[in-house]
Formats: sequence, C-alpha cells, structure tokens
Amino acid sequence: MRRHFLGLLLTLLVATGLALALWQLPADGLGFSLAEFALRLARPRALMAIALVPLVIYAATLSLAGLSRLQLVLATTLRALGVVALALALSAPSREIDVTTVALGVLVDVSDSITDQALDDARRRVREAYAGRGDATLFLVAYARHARRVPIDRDAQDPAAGIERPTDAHERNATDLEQALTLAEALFPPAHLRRLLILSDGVQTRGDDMRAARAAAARDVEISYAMDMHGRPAEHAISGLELPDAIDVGQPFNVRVQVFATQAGSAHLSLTQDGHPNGLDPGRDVTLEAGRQEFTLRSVVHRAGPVTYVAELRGDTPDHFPENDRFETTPTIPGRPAVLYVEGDRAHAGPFVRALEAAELEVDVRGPAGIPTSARELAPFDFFVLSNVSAGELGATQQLAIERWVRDQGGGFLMAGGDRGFGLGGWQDTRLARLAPVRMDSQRRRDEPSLALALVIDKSGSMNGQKLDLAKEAAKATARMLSASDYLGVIGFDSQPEHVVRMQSAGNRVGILRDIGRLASRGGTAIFPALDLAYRDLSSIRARFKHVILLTDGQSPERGISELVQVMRAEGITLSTVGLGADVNRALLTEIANEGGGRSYFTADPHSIPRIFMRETTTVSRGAAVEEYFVPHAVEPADFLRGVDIAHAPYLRGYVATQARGRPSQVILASDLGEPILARWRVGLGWSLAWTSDLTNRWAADWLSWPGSSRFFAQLVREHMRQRHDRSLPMEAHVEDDEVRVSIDAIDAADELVEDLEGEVTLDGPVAGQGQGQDEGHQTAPLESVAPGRYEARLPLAGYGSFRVSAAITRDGQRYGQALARVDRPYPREYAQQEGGADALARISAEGGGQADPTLSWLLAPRGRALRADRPLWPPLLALALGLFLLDLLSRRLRFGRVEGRRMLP
Amino acid sequence: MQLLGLSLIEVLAVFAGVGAAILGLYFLRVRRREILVPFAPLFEELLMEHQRERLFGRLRWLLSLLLALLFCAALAFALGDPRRSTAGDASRALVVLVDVSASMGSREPDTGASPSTNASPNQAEPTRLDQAKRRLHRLVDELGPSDRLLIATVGERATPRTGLTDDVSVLGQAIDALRPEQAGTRLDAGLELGLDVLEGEAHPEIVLVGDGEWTARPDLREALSRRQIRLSALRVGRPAPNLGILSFAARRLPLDRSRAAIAIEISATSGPDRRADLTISDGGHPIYAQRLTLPGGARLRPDLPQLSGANHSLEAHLTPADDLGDALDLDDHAYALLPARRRSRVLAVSRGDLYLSAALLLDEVLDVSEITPEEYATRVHEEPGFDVVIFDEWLPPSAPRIPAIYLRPQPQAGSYAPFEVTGEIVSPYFSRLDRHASLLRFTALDDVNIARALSVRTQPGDHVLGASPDGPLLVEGVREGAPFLAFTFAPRESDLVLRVAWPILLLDAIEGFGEATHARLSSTRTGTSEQVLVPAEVQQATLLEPNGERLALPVQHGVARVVAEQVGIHRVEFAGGTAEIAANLDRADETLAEPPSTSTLWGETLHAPSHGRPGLRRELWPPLVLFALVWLLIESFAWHRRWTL
Repeated sequence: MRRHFLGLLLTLLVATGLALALWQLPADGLGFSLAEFALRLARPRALMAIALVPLVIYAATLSLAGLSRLQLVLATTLRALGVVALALALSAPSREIDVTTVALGVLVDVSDSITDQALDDARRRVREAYAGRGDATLFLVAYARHARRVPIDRDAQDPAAGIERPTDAHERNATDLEQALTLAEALFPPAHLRRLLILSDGVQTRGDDMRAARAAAARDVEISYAMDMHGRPAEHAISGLELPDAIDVGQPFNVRVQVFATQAGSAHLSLTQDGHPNGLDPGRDVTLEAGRQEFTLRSVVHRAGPVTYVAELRGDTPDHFPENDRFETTPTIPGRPAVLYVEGDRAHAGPFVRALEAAELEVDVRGPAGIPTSARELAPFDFFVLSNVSAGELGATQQLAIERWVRDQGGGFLMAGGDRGFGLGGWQDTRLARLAPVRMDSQRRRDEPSLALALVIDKSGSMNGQKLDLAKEAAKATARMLSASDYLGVIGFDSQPEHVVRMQSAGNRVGILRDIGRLASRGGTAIFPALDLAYRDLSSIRARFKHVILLTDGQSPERGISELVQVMRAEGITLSTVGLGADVNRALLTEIANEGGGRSYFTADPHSIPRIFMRETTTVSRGAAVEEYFVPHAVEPADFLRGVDIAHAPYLRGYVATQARGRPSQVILASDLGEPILARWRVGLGWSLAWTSDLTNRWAADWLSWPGSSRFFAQLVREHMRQRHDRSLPMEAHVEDDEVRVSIDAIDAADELVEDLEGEVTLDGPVAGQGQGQDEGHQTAPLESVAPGRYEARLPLAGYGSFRVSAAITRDGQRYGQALARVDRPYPREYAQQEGGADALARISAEGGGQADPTLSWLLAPRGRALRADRPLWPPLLALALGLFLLDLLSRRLRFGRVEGRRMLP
Repeated sequence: MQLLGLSLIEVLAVFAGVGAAILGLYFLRVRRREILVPFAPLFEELLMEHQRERLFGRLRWLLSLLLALLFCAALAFALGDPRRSTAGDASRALVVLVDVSASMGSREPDTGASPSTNASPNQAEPTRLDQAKRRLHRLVDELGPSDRLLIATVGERATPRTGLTDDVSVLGQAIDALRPEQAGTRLDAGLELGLDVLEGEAHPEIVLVGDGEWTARPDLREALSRRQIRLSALRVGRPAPNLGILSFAARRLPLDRSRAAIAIEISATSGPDRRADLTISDGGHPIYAQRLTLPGGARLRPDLPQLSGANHSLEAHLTPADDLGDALDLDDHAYALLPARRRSRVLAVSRGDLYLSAALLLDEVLDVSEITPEEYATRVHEEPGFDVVIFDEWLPPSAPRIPAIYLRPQPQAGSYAPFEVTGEIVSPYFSRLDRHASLLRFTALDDVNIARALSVRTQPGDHVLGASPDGPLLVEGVREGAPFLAFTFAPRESDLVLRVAWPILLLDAIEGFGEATHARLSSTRTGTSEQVLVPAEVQQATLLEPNGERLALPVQHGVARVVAEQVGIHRVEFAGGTAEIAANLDRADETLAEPPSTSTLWGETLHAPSHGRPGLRRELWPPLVLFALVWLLIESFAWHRRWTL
C-alpha cells in the first residue's frame, strides 16, 4: 500500500512538472520548422495533455490483467502514444502549404453609358464564367453610382439574373469603380488567389479608380478587364457653351457652342435666351462631322441680371443620350451701365438723356445739389457727367470723392462745358481741374473781346457805414483784378441809379478807384432802374463776356426785374447777385441770378463782400467761351468713334476754350482753331474726359438732334466707364466629383500677398433649373487660407444646370472686395464622355497585373501563383490516434510472452 | 450542424471500419493459457465461483465494447470537423471600421506615469492604434459561435482588410497588421462599405473603433436605419497634450522673387500654456527660428518675416520647449516648396534701355549679358549658352533657337520677324486682357498709357494676352520650336516701365519659359489628389515617396495624378524632368484630436458592441478530442484494474 502511495505521488509529481513545463509555451501560436516543413501550433499549451502519459504508465503498474511484461509494455506504449497524438491534435498543428484555388469577382458596370447590348454581353460572360468555374469561387458586383453585391443563387437557372440596372436614374448616371473595387476586396473568401474581371466601357465619373486599383494590387488582387466589344453608341452632344467673361447690356457678343459627334450628319442647332429664341441668331442647320467642332452665334442681352442660355442640338444621326443634346448656362449680366448726369441747367438735360437711354444706359439726372459727397455714393455709377456746373457748387470733399472714384475705383468722368464749365465755372486750380485732360487757363486769341463787368451796388441808407465801406473795397479790388482789356462800370443805386464809374477800360485804374471812393449812401432801394442802366451800358459795349454783379441789402420792388434779366440773358449778359444781411429778398435775388445765368450769394457778414466780388470776377474774367458755329474734326483715332461719321457731324455752336495738356492726354476732337473739344486721359484705374462744348440746346442743339449723336455718346460712355470686374478678386471655380472647388488669389495694389482675409463663398443654383425640376439651392462655406494670399473653399454640388458662385470678402471686419464666378454642370458626366475609357481600364489592369479581355481558363488558372496557407494537421493525428487505439486493443486481446507470479489470471 | 472535414458518409465509413475492427477484437476469444496444476481439486472451488460470475463478466465485456465504440465514434465524428450552423437566429455579421488616421498614432503615457520629456519622446508608449488592437483582439475572442466579422480600415478611403469571416486566425493577423496612416478620417466610405457587405445579413452590426468624434453624411444614417444595421463603437485614447503644425505654406513675392511670404499655423490641445521652438529650414539649413508661447487649446498664426534667400524646399519643425509632452510626432513637421530659382543666362540685345536693364537687375539669379545688335551678329554662335534672349526694338537675321522676348519687333531688311507688321497703332491701350493667363496673374495693365505700337498679324496658335481695339499688344507663342513673348510696343514709350507690373511681367516671362510658375501651391494635404503636368509624349512616371518607396504613376493626356499619402516631399520623375509635391498632415481634427468621453455620431451616443451568444465556439472537434483523451486515461485504469475487459 505504501509502495502504491509513493508510486502515485511520484507519478503526480512528474505529471505536474511536465504540465508546468509545457505551460511555458506561448499561448497564441508557435511556429517552427521541421525538416523542410514549416509547422505551427495554434494552441501550444494544449500540449499539456501529454502530462497524462505518466498517469497511463502508473495505471499499467497497477495492472491485474495478467499480461506478460512484454505485452504490458507494448500496450502501455501504444496507449501513451495515443495520448500524445490526441494532445498534439488539440494543439491545432498546421503546416504551411501552397494554395492555388481561385476566387473570381466579376465587376459589371450597369451605368447608363453601357448599352443594353453590352449589358447582355456582360451577362453572357458571367454565365460562361459560372459554368466553367470548376472549383473556383465566383462572386458578382454590379456598380454604377454605387456598388452592390449580386447574389448568385446556386439553384437558379441563370446566375446572371441579378445583373440589372438600378431603377433610380440618379443611381445610373454615374460610375464609381473605386467603390466597386473596394467592395469586391471585401467579398473575397480567405485563402484564395484573388482575381477580378471588370466588364465596363471604362467611363469613370466618380472616385479614384487608379488609387483603389493600386491598393488592391498591393494586396495581391489581380485585375483584368473586358471592354464592351460593341463600341460606344452613336452619339452627338453639346459639350460646351462659352460666353465672354464680361457681357454688357446692349453690346452684341459671340456665343460659342462646342459640339461632339461620332458620325457625320446634319442637325439643327438652336439657341434660346430665357426661353425665347435668341434674337440675333436663333439657330441654324449645321453639318456635323465626326469629332469635335464649334459653332458661333451672335447674341445680345437687353437687361441686367441672370440670363439663361440654352443650346439644343437636334440631329438626324442616331443618338444614345438625349440628355447631352442640351446645354444650359446662366451668366449674370451686370446691371445696365449707370450714368450719373449732373446738369447745371437741368431743364435742358432732356436731349442728352434721351441719347444715352437709347443706347441702354441707365441715366440718373440730378442738379448740382445732388452731387455725391463720397466715393461710396458714387460706387453704384459707372460714368459721371458733370455738365455746366461751376466750381463753387462743389465742395472740396465732393471733388476729392470724384477723384478717388476715378483713380481708385476706375470710374469714368466727363466734364462738359457751358457757361459754367471749365474756366467759366471757376474751375482753375481746383482738384477737378487737375483731373481734367485739358488745361483751363486758355490763351486768349488776339481778337478776343474783353470782359465787360458792371458792378451795381446798393447805396441806400441801410448800407451806411461799414457795409458801404466794404462794398467800396470790394469794387476797388475788382478793379485791380481786371486787365486793361476788360471793361468796368460801377453803378450806385438807391431810389435812383447813378454812374459812380462809367463803363470804361479797367486800365484806367486810378480814376476808377478814385470814383469808387466817392460812393455815399442815402435814400431807398430800387433795383430795376439800376439794372436797366447796367443793361444799357453793357449792350452798347462790344465784349466777349458781359456780366453784372448786383449787391443789395434791402427789399426792392420786383416789377419788371425778371423780364429785364431775361432780355439781358438773351443778349449774353449774365447776372450774379449778392444779398447782404437778413432783410434781403432772397427769393428775388435767387430767381434773377438763375435767370441771369449767374450765381447768387447771401451773407450776413459785410467782410465777406470783397471775397465774393473777387470770386465772381475771377470766375467771369478767366472764362473763355467761344460762341461761334464750327464743325469739330477728329484729330486722333479712338475705338469709340467706330461707326460714327464725325466728318459729317453737324455744327456745334460754342465751346469753352481750353488747352491741350500733351501726352499722355489725347485730344480726340478739336475745333477749327485746334482747341480741344473732346480730350481724354487715364487717371489711375479710370478715365477722365473733357467735352468743352455743352450738352444742352445752347451749343449742342444741332449735335444732339443728329442721328449719330446717340451712338457717339453711348460708345464714348461704354468705352470709358468703369469696368466693374476690376474691383473683384480673381476667383476660379470648377466642379470635381460632386463638389465645387473655389480658389481666390488676393494680391493688393502693391503686389503684396494679402493675408488675414475672411469671407464666405455662396453657391446658388441651378439658376434656372429648367428641365431638372429642381428648386434653386443655396450653399455656403467659409474661405480657408491655404497659403499666403490664397484662399479656398469647397461646396457640395447637387443637381445640374448653371450655378452662381460669389464671395464677400472682409478684412478686419471691413469689406475688402468680392469675387464672382459661374460653374456649369449641364448634365451628368456620365453623358459627357464621348471617347471610350479603354486607356483608363488598361492602366488599371496594368496596375493590377491583369489582362485585357482574358479567357476564362487564363483567369482561373493558377499560372504558377500560389498563396501560402496553413493546412491543419489535427485530422491525421486523430486518424493516428484511432489506429494506435486499435493496435492497443489488439495488443491486449492477444496473449504472448510469459506471465509471471501473481499477475497470472485464474 | 455541418461537417467541414470528412463527409457524413466518410465519417460513418470510418466509424464502421474502425468499429468492425473493435468488434472483431472483442469477439476474439482470448486463448486460455495452459496452466499445469499439481492437484485439480484445489481449484474446483475457484472454478465454481467463476461459473457463478460468468453473467456479470459478459455484461462487463459488453460495456467495454460499447465504450470502445464510443471512443471510436468520437474521433470519427471529430474527423468530420463538425460545426454549428451559421443559420442560427443569433449569428451576427459585424463590420469593424478601424480609424487609422494620423491621430491614431498618438502615444499616450500610461496612467500615473511621469510625463515624457523632449529628450526621450515617448516611443515606448502605446499608440491609440495599439489600444485599438487590444480591444479588437478581445472583440474577436468574444465572438459568438456563429458570428462573422470583417475588418476594414478608414483613413482617406475605406480599405477591407479581411472578408466577412469567422476565422479567428485570419482576423488576428489582420488586426496585428494594422498601421496608422498619415491622413484624416472619412467615415462615409467606410459606412458605405459596411452597408454593401451587410446587405441581406440577419444581424448586421457596424462597429466603429477610433479616437475622434465621428461625422458622416446624414443620408447614411437613413440607410443604416432602413436596413436595421446596429451601430456601435469602441472608443480608444484619452486626451493627451499635443503640439502641432496645422498648416504651412510659402509663396514667392510677385515682385521680389528672392523673398518668400510664409504662412504657418500651430496649435495646442487644451490645457496649460505651451512653449515651443519653431524652426524653418531651407534644404536642411535652418534659416529662421522663433520661440513661441501658445495658450492651451489655441491656434496661433505667428507673424513671420518675409524670408530672403529661401531657395526651394522649406521644412518647418516644431519642438516643445516644455515638459508637458507631445502625443503626435507626425504633425511636428511640415513642408513647403517654392518655385526653384534656376540661374538663367539672359542675353539682352539692346542699344541701351535703362528700364530694361533695371528690371533685369531686380532678379539676382539672372545672369544678364547686354550686347548691341552689332555685337549680336558676331556672337550669335554663343546663343545656345543662354536661356533667354531679349530683342529690344531690333530683330536678328534668323529665328533664335532659344526662348525670346521681343520688344516692338519692327522688321528691318534682312531680319527675321515673328509677325507680319501691317502698320502702327497710335495711343493704344489694353482693352482686352486674358485674365486667366498665368503671366498676367499679378499685373494690372488696364490703365497703361502707350504712345504707339505695331499693328501685327499673329499666326495660328499664337496666344494674344492683351490687345487694344486696333490690334494685339502682348502675344505669346512658339516660333521654330522656341517659345516667345512679344510686346508690340516699346515699353519705354509707355508708362508701363514706371509700374511694378513691368519687372513682374518681364521676370515672370523669363521664369515662365521654364515652367508654370504659379501653377501649384507650395504644399498640399496628405490624401488629396494633385495633378502633375508632364510632356505629352510621356506615358509613365515614377513617384518617389518620402519613405523612399517608388510607385509607378500612369500618365494620361500629359497629366500624372498623384495622391500624396505621406507627410514630406514627394518627387515625380518622368522622362525629361521631375516635379515635386510637398504634403502635410494639415488637419486640425487630427492634430487636436481629443477623444470625447463618449462616442457619438449624428448627435447620438454610440454604445459598446453587442455580445456574442455564449457557448462553444463553432469548432466542435476539440471537445471531442478532449473527451477521447479523458476516456483513454480512465479506460487505462479501468482495464488494468479489471473493471472493464
């Protein structure tokens, strides 16, 4: 008994030790080589079962079976080997072997670009592959916009029955081979040679098929392809519709229609504008040649805003995709060019306005009071006509705004003459004088009559004292300012007028100053007699310019004054009025100044009288109106004169004499004396022009009624008006997959890259959406800075048609600029590719190591390729264990050897 | 139940064969051993006892036979490799989408470990992807007996790494092979793959494994819901301090090409203020360094000076200057390329034009030689030694064979002229400009005043860059195989020479004869596709990646499409030239990835994956073998002790 206990103890110790030793093996697999075999145990620790062997041996030591020693040893050994075999089997041993079984995935393109015939051909190939697959595994993937697995029912009569086009048109009108390749990779069963066969025409519209093919090839997927053997179907399509970048309202332009056809034939090409036949060229019958060609049609836009053009092609040749016979684009036409026309004599603005409006220009007519005071107010306008307005009617701020608008914003500015234009309006030495392309200090001609100036000064009792003294000083200063060729007369008046200084040459300065000093106050106030006296004085004098300055501080009977002034005006005598103090009849003075073609001044400060007199004198003395009939002639060619027969233009009746500045100023039209009538030059981004005649019936009556004047002025304005795109940042927008990718470059005037801009890009569209049944979408995305001065954004694109892209850009919270673009996606790219995709499939196949149009046997043959795979060894070990068990049993059922002592059986 | 090893017939045949052998052996009567005894009556009592126990012995024999047959049956059945059927109601089909974006390469210190220092970047610490692998192995271990699983990675694209399989060894190998990519995460493609693969499966489930907040197209939510696909997530990682470069780009200044404007944005994950050293190197040589202080969680665009003398290849490197750690190394480097500044030899044939000379002097990499027309006649054989020739109001006797710039090309007797001159245009101005032309990109020519220009007749193929109503003013094209740019006017007879546009136009033209100067950005982001223009006749190109690997690039219609998948400089080599692309990680969601406390998608919290049905794995042979082993041991004792026969 003790011996048995010691034996059991020893056995358990050995078994435990063996188990512990085997526990040290790694838990997650053990690989090793034996002879030339690479072996692996998936569960090495299962070998602990070998620890049962000592127990088997121990059991044999207790045997009562009465076997001979030899038989006992043999039986025990066989039993132990059986235990070892089972333990080895439990450890899941395997041997690396070569696997040559093929799994073939067939990828069938079911998009719209595949013809029915080609799809039938693909089904036939699938049936053949299924029938001849042998022990290979076959699976199917159908793909268009998305890929899907096509189940093969083993019991089905037709394994290709599941290959159908998607029912949803949106699913059919795109092809994504990348997704199909990715899905196919996921469907390969393990331990198979992986082969793919693509049945397609090669047209790709989404995804990166090359990248997917490269990735698949890196994982030992072999890619072959078979092209649609029936070729691409007969097709004609409009592949592009190009319009100029900048379209102006009323300006004809070319519309270029790009057409593709697979075979020659004839067709009718039509072009509509906003649903109506294109006015200048509604369409024509065209002859199609095989290949690409372009047709040009003329068009014109008569309104601002989005305008939808649709080109359609109706051919007599077979056509597979009717969708691509129509191309739609919607450019946004900038508003009609806006002209701000400030006319000093607004009542006479009509003829010029009509001339501009006939040329589809938007004209805003204002009086001098409506002149904008900032560049921002001028921003909506493209051209600014300042006609017959004196310098005194514009403040420095307004002049500065005009200059900035021209120089920085590219505006076009035209100063037109008249009796208040150029020098006559006192523009000398002003900011706008420097802006003008002519000099206003005209040289007088030898035969030029002098200025005759009558000062009519109120010397009534109320003027006594400082007022009259300052009036006398003003009159003296005026006398000093005039040249010897000028005439001056001074009339003092109360109830009655009197000559203080008779009309005489201003060269007699000493006498004039002395006489003015004798002016004394007394009596009431009566203006009419004084003006009448001045009129009589001036009418008897031959002078080129005759002017009256009336100074008064009180009320006066009005009777007859207005009529007198009109008579004076009719004779070329102008009148300005100066009201002193609060008691003056402002209405009267303003009215007669307006009727008199002069200016009215009101002041409560007597000290301002000399300054007003000097200003008036300067204004009238430096003016140089030439009132005579003449025909302007062109001295330099200009693009805007095309089609205008200047040589047969009518007379102009007068102009303001100015001087040409010399280069780079250009004199386009000149008088018969060579003085500028129309001149221009570049100022910053804009143009400045001078029209020294007027724009009213006074000097330009014949010109404005001339049929060519509308064209002349319209072309003049269009050529020199602001080009609005100059203000925009350059934006590039294009469609990639289902996204619009936008990039903007920001370079400032100093050619520095502009950073820290912010903004949001907006995508609107499809603008018209005709035929697509879509509502106009609206997407926004922030601009991201991707490099110094470079900004980008991406926006998802849904639908087809023409889309507006716009960006409002700010810097430090202030508006910096804008960017505009248009992208067209008239129909899915699936319908746009006229050439086959053989090259694309060939590249993919080359990347995947496959073949073009391979045979089935080639596809399914290992061709020397094999995969390393693990073959499990546990089944032979189980078979071994079974065999050992039988031998074990046999060894126990047979008797051999000599039985010893007590072990004998009864 | 199904048999994947021997078929049922084969199993039965094995059982029948081995069973018959066992039966035969048991029916084999053991030969009675001949025993000589001295006196028979001594054994009579014993023989009588044997007779009494005979029935019991037959029962033991029968039991022993049955047990032997049972052992045989177990092993024969095991040889059939029996499996539980997958058609069971509870069998799941799982698609595991593993985020392998750059942030999954972040290394996180173990909890309680001391923060890593700059000197020893935490290379030994596990990455988030390592954590994900452990979770995935556990997920595979917990698969139900009939569950199947597919592993796919989601980076810039979805890539299946296995099929839908229950083979744990295949799954384990796929898990071990996962590596982080150098790009972002696009879950959309992964979900689409899951939808496709799980089509028709009984208990479909998609498991997201990653560290970030998930985003995907809303329409995919509806598709998942419609197909009743369960969505679950395994979240890995935890917030770890990180510093990174969010974007890096450079551009040469349009006028002064020797200087470059630099834009860089760096960021730090939330937490305390960070200090870092920013170094910018040019061709490996540091040209700028700055220490930056960055508030935690902030993004900073430091004002960098315009760098002078930057050559071609710039690298920005961010090094933490504190001990707070840096989880991701990949975003500490960024690259940018500037147009190469090739030294060009320019031959100016002029009778003296200060405006031309001054403009050419602005670019220090130009090697300008000025000669008179008379000298040109004697030195014409030297022309091949120059890269560009400029003819200033004079024309050579024959067409130059190198790129040329013509200023007012008025033909004289015996001279070659690129155009037929039909007259003169007085006071032209630019009424039409091709604003898409790269040459005019940084210029404003609308208001240039010109005294006069030649009226020329261009040839087919010429590209008129700018024109007045009366004719072209700026034309580019090719003559005798060499490109040219022609000003139909003398720049000095215009105010163009007084503007910055003049040297820009001239220098751009000289540089542009070699390549498209402004065609490409200085850097792109990994995973995006870039196009490289190659000569039309080139069919094949090679991509040399930053890690030294070479890939064949197909070329179509003169365009090679490159997807930069690694951070660094990618070099495209083709017959007759090379091109380079700098790619950066350039993704805030990777650099600043701070794993949220819960995984969410479309605003919904994602729960942990479902559990497999408890029970045996599908393989049934191991328990059968185990049974056989135990049987062998017990039977050994039983037989030797004569309990069985």
